[in-house]
Amino acid sequence: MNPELQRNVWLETSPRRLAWVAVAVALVYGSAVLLAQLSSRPDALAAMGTAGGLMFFCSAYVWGVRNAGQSVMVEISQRTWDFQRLSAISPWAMTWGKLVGATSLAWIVALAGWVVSAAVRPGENLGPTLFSALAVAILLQAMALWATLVGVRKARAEGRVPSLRSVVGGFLLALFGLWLISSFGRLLGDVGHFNGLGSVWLWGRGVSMGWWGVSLPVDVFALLSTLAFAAWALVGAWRLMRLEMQMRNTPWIWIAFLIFLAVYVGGLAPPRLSVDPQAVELHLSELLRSGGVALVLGLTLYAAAFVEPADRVRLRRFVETARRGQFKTALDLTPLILPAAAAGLIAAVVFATWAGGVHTAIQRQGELNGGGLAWLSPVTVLAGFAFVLRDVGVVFFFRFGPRPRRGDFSAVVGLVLVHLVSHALAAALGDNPARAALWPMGAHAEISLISGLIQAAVVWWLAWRRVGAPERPAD
Amino acid sequence: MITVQDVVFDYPSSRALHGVGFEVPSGVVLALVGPNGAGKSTLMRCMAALETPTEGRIAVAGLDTQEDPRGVHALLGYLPDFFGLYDELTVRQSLTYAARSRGVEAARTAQAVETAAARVQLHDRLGARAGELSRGLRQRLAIAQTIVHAPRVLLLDEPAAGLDPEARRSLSELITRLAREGMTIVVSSHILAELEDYSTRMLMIRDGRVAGGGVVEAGAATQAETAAVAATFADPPADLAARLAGLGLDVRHVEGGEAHIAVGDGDKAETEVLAKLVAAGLAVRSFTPVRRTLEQAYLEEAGRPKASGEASAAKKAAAKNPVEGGVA
Repeated sequence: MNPELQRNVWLETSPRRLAWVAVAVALVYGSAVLLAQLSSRPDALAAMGTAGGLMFFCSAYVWGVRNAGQSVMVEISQRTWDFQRLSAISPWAMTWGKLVGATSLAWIVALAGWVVSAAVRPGENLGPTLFSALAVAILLQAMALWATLVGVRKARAEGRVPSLRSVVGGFLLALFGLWLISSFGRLLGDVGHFNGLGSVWLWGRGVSMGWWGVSLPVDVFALLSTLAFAAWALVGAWRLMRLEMQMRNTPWIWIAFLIFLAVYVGGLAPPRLSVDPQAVELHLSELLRSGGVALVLGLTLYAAAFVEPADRVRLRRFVETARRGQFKTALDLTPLILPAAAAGLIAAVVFATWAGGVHTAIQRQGELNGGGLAWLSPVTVLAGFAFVLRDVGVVFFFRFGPRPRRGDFSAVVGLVLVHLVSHALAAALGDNPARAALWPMGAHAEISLISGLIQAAVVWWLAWRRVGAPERPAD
Repeated sequence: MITVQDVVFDYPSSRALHGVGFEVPSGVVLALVGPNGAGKSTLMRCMAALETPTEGRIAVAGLDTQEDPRGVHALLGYLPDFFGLYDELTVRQSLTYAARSRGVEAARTAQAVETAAARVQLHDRLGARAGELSRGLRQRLAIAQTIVHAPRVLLLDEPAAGLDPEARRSLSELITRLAREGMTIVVSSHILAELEDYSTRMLMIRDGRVAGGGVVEAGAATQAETAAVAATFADPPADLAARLAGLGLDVRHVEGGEAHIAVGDGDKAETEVLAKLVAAGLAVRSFTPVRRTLEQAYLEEAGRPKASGEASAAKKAAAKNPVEGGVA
């Protein structure tokens, strides 16, 4: 048996805890039946089902998620984490041992509630929904473990003790990011017409769902999507556990995740209305698809800039080993932002290509101004990417500052300030072409591109000065 | 057994180790001494392959801590200065988990648990919960968890902190026993007295650098070889130093009625010195072998020129931040 699982089960399912939980569960179900009997339309079975659903929600989504995150936080607060980092248990066994073991009691209660909830509604076809509920629990718990490990690594690099507050914050942000990825089409409103997992979660079920031309019932799509993201959350936790146990990670899994994201989001775009290479419709649908992918990969680049520990030693070693031609070592030290930036650049180039294609197709049809998309040119897209690179440089500049503990906060403030100042200056300049130097604009896009690249270069030079600054002796 | 080469370690805002280098031979008990904040714990964590040095290289039994950290982990046991236990688990469960997580096969686990418990004299408390144990017993359990997989190298960071004298004595005996069984042990402490009984080598770390002459013999290693004798005299003559020198003795220092006299190697060396003193008509009141204590070694090494020739700086640092129980 996995020793980590066994230890967690020893701690979680001690006879005393089991007895207390049994009493609590009996009280909840008993109260539900009692309340039902006292109501005007007594239906004990329905009350049991409601209580079961409630027990499942609380145990799987609250208690289990908390325990999954606490499975590492408690080790740190009790000072047993170093012992675990030295262990011979494989990182994968450590990951699933914690995830399953720390949530074992919560799962017992949750599954009991799940069974009760399903059993009292035998006539309803709830299969995919019920299994989606389980998949969401696995996803949330795996994300909690992942977010905790991210928090632990960031805290160590910043010379502080990881706090539950920051981990919860990171978890909620990751959840928001996931929702954004899966439903950002909704955010784009009429422009997007994207389908998405978030649509399923938030706006009901029963509609079929198209993904790369394959039509699926939305509940099935939701289940498959949730399982896919849960699997990635588990992989993410496992990769971080490897690093905690002093093993090295090549960037291939991260690159695979970026490709998965591109494929997943690309599939959510509306189906092609035409396959005629001359038709505007084809170009527009591909423009939407590549734009969606570029947007998600751009957001992932921002996220990567915050997720990775601000470890200047590791960054310097990466540069040094790459400079010496020790590429195998350099590969293990590759910062997350590099593959993310490369993927973002590729997506931006594809997006820019389709943007050019749309203009050509529209002009072929005699609309010389390019319809409502006149602002969107290949140069504008690339200028936008240059400004994203600048922003990521701003994040690095602040995160590697003299007060690393406040790096994330400073970086957010820095980004907000840069954008506020840009907008204020742009407003002051009116119609002056110099506005394009502050913001990627369709008109004078070349100015935007050059300005974006110069700003990015300057910010990254400043950031690198901080990364490469010599350490001061200990006080 | 352990080779440390030019190790530099940086924390986010400061440099903790500045090119530390030394070697630890197999089978010794190395006392890693130095004031609080000198970098001992950081060095220990680097040796345990829990931290990656900014520069330099560390090898344990030939395995590089950066190239094969998992291999190094399997070879050693490490007890940090602030350790934790699973309070809700029994001693047996704690040791079983430790054994299994450190790679002991399931079939051998029960035996390994019994052996480790016996080594730290906890075999009669296997059913007790860790949370119910006293500070000293918790320390023993932590050490048992650290040695349950029979590591070749044991790193103990401030192991006696907070222990009462009896528990310290017990810890000292345990370390001596483990060393006798062939384990290479590195013990860090800023309390020299606790290292005295079992350390065979000493390394001083100060301000993140190796101070003094690197790894030197000290403590238990010098007990067997009597470097000097302390002789006290009843009614000592005023020219005691001159008379002793006249006898051909190597007198280290004379103060009042007491003289420290160097003795050579061999069983008869002390006897010959005593015979000379008596033959010269000196009224010897006591005649005691003197060994070079860890404290003396520490002070002597602190006074040596550092690699950068900053002996005075070392002395100033020693005066500013005295070693607890040593200088004081």
